[in-house]
Amino acid sequence: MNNPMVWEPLDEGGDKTPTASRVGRWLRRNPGGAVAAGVLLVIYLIVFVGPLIYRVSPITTHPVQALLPPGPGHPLGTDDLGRDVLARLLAGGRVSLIVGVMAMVVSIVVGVLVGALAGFFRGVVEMVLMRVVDAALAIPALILIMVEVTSFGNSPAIIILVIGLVNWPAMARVAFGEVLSLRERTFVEAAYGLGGTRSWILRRHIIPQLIPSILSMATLTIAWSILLESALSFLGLGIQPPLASWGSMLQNAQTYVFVDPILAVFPGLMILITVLSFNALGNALRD
Amino acid sequence: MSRYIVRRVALGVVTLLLMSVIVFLLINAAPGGPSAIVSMNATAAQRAALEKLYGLNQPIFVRYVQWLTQALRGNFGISYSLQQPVLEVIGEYFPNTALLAGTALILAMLIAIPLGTQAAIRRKSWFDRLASGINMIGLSVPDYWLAILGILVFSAWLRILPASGMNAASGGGGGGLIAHMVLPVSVLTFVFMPNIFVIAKSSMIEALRADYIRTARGKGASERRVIYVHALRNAFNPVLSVIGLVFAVLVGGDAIVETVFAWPGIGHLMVDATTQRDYPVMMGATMVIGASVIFINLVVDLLYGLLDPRVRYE
Repeated sequence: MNNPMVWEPLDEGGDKTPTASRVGRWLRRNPGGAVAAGVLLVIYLIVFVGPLIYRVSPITTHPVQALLPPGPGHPLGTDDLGRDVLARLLAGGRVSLIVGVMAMVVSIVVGVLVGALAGFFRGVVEMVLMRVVDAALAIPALILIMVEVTSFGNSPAIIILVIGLVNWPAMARVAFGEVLSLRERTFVEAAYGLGGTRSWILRRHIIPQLIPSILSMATLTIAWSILLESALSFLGLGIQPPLASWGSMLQNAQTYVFVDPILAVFPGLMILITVLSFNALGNALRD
Repeated sequence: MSRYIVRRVALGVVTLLLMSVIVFLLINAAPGGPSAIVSMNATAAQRAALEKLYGLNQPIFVRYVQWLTQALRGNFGISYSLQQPVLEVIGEYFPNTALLAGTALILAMLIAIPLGTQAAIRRKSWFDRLASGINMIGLSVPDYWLAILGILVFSAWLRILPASGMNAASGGGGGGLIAHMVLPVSVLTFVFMPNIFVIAKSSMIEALRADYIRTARGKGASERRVIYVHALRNAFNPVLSVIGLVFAVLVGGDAIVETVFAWPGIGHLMVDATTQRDYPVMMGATMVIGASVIFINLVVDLLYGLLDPRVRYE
């Protein structure tokens, strides 16, 4: 058991190509996924590196310069309080992307754990855990999040937890299904034959096999989490001012839709492009 | 069959009870719960009086049992903000939501199922790519942004559709019910479609591969008959079950779209209640929404057997 090399799962055919060239091959075969990955890379660069170059404050207000159209000094114009829209777009992007990724991590940890345990141990464990999953799936996500946020507050950390905890059941379903078929495979039998304990087999042999399907689910979950966060912030229940978020920028934009429609354009486009790319990448990873 | 129905209904009731416990605890046990709002800007005596008025001086378990016994009699309490029985308020708003979301759901099915069928038959064609692309956008676009753009184009620029409300009486300005429905129903239909499309396409692809399709072709049935009679009927069940499953997701989209268009529906009521911390309404609306989700899933499960004679309920 101290020699893990012997019991590496052999079913995968042992691809010995270096990771970098394997990634390159995958990108050539999936032009859609490659474009999506490229777009995401650009968005991440703009949002995280951009503020180092474009050093305008996203929260300083200039009431005199309110609702300016795009022009010199303010490339994308200003909002109702005279704040620079481009600076807020960058700051809001940081919030949305961080919340999306962190919430996905929460969903994966909880979902994979629950799904893998239910699928591996079956019996009572499966019955209890999967009934909880079913009940959790029946409660409308956004409604549950709204209730939770009113009760526990809306700091970014709580929003991450709340969104992550609403998405885990779907993840649990996927992990459950996979583990159910994996546990019957010969390499698991071999691991038992070697005298491996059940928890060791689960950690060392089953969970690593889940990684490909988790990767695709994770990407799709980021997309869904970003949409949920933006919707919550749009309703005024998510990220609170002066912190910017793409959703709360759109809430602002709705108030001024008849006066300054341009405010509604950029945050919405950013959400659409980001979520679209994550969805496309997730689909490409699955196929 | 009847034993199956009884068991499914019982299971639904248990889920609903479980949900009520979760939501009640979330609302009442949390630091920002009703006691917090009652204690704002009040002297100790006023606070005690208010807590007694709303029954907040009791332990949480007692309060839950009280809430449950009252709720079972159809009494969900009095709305803090509207000063009206919660059930009355919900009764006023619910039909509007059923009208809006129901219309959108039916439209989404009428569009997405034929689209998915065609995409499955003509796989990898330009039609398939176009339809899949549009659905990908529907899956990724924030529904409220689409709603704002709709208001921008059709209400602010073209001035042909009202931007909010349900009719002139509810503060929506000119135009009748239909005019007020066009924008919200369009947005909802667009965001409801993708899930249905994806399943319709994949289950149609699956069905077209089946042996009975080869048999049907072999005995000389026309391609049209093979697709629309043999394959489509068999592909329909997964579509139906996914509608039950995604219903909980659709409810969220409905709440947002109702809020943007100031549509007097239950989703909008829920959002308002949340921002105003109107706890009895939050509790009541969540339960009604949850019950509808459970009810829809029950109906779907029963229809399943009706449409597919191979499904037998023990």
